[in-house]
Amino acid sequence: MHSDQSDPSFEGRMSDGRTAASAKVRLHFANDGLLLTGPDDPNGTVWPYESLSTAEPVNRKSNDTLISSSSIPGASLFVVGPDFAAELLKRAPHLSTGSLRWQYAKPGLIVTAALVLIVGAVWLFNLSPARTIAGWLPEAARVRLGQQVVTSMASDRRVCHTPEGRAALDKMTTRLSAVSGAERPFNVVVVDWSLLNAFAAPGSQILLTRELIKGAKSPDEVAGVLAHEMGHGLELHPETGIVRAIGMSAAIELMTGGSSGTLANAGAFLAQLSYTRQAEREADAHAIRILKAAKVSPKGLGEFFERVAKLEISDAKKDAGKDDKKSKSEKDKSSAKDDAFSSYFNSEIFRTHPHSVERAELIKSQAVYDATPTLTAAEWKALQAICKKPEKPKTKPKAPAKEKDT
Amino acid sequence: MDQQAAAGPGAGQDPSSAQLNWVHPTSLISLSFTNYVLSLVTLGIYSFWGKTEVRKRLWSAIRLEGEPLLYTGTGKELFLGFLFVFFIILLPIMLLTVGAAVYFGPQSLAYTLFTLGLYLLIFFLVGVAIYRATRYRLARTRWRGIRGALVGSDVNYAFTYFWTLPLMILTLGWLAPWRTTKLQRILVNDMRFGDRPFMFTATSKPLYPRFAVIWVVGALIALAVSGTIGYQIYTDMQANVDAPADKKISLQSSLIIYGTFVLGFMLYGIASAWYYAFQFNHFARNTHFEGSTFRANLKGKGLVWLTITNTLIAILSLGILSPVIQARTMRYIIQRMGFVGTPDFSAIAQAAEQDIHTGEGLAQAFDIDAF
Repeated sequence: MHSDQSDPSFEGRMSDGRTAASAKVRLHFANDGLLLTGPDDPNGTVWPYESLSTAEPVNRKSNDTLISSSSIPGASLFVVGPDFAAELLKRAPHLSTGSLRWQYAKPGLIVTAALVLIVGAVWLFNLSPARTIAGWLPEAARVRLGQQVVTSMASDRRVCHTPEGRAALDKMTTRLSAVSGAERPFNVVVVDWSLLNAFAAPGSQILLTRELIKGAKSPDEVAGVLAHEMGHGLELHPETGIVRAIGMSAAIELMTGGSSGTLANAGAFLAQLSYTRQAEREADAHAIRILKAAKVSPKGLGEFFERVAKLEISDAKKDAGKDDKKSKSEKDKSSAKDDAFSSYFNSEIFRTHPHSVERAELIKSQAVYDATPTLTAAEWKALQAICKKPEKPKTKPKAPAKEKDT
Repeated sequence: MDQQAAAGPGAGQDPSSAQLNWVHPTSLISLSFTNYVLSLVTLGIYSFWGKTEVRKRLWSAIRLEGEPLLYTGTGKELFLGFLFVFFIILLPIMLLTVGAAVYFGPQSLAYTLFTLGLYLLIFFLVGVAIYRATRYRLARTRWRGIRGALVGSDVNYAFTYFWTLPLMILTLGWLAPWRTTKLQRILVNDMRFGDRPFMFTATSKPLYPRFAVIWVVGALIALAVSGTIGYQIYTDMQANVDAPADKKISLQSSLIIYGTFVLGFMLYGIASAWYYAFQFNHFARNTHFEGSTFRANLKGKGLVWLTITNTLIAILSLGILSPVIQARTMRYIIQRMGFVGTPDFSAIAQAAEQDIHTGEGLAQAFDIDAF
């Protein structure tokens, strides 16, 4: 039936998978499969080659092989010796390392290709899944989210309030908000903060800083900033930013097998708002539309952002020039939180120089229309003084005197 | 007899007892790099298949009576297990946390309570994860075609894991040997090979004399370390009273502080290796199967050496050679383990298969990975 040259025989141990016993068997490489013969089975049983699988991929270095066959479920065969492995590989090449590796890698490669396609499609068709999800958030949730953002940003800082200043701010806000097309009126607060800054939070909420009010040369400039931030709010940019940050963390969790630990770090999401240039353009488009509808001159918007951009450049140069300015650096250190926010704003809003040129062009290209002043001189004065502390003498701060100079 | 020669008889194994040997897997280093590269290009998805292939090699390196263990788990099962845990547990927890932070505010009491509740839930889930990972591995392990199994309740185990934890803190750690023994008892007594149970007879009493030693040593090391650090900081503060905040501690003191930490950590590592080797041997001596009993002869010195060399391999290979590290650890343990007596293998029958279709996602998520 077979010649000894081409059909060597081997010895192995077979278990039937019913008990944990094993018995010695003789093995021959038949044409259609592995032929097992033993004292209990002198005629032998054939394990077809294509039905075989091995515990590990078979290669020329394999010292032993543990084989099972889908035609005899449960049974297993253990054979020692590299010669057997080499013979087996000739007849059952699907057991080789390369073939199995490809089989293992296929699912991962397919999923990766699918992901690349999805990401590519999102990018190519300019889809924004985060924006879509942000749109699904109910109004109440967005307002709540916005309140948290405002609270966490204002944190230990005072919300500025004088009756006259508040009235002036409300007058300006109402005038813009009424024509903005927003479903709910914008809520604007001024925070006693030495950073020049404006911020749109979810749920139609806007935060201005004392420094911004002080740094503005006219009420129209404040109105311009407000209209710009309203634009962000109308486009749900803050909500989108938060949803995107959460989505990114989830994706990182998924890819690192859930061990990256960003899981419970909710606080981080609230601060991770950054806008693309595209988002800034959208906000500007809204700002110009709102200002026009409210009959406020768009010049303030352009002038303010341009001046701030220049200010930032010169500030950056100054900082680079003298970094041994101790008192300033210590002051900065005392409010690390301020730094984090300021660096974000510097880079994302005010340092978009090409954009400020583009913005100026956009404003210049607008047809001239009849504009009326946003506030009277008295109202403007009141708004600029909104962060003034009440005159009545308060109890002295308990902090040590030396910290007073910061 | 051929197989015995290939496997190499274990040192000092009683020929009348069942033979346990280790045949070190070949080409693990190239497998490590292949897995790493394929994981990179598939955004980590291949790692489940890579891990499975490593396990197949490690399992088959263990030879009982000259025949290898077989790992029958698949990459797909591990992947599905992880996806299940990610979407059913991790993602909801994450969204709930964000939701709670938004709704209550990150600084509010309600959010703090929520976080506390979440940590308690996670502690409980860690218990579930340990049990389920063990169950999956046993169910996917065969020897001579016969499956292993873990037949008890994961909730029962997790509950014990959970309620003994606060007691650990209350007893300043003195409950540890008792707790470890109790948890090991649940696991071992739930273990099956085919239709036959394992039996665990250890008590925690013999562990306590050694535990007392490492507890006292640990306390002394903690005292010495904090004393040294406190002294260094104090003297520096006195010397540099007028220096700015970040210059108050001198470089020399920083080095001493850092060195003291490292030294204390290493000393405690050596002491606890001595304890854990003893605990492992104690547990093995008290684990029985079908009239035979395990034995183990782990040594503190050997564990320390293994840990140091494995850490070096991990650092120098940036973690890529983790399969090599796993193999070295298993080799160390298996070469020092064995049986007293031989079970009647022909009397052990296959048991009905357990219904497990997904892998150990929860353990993966919490980074619990024995092998």
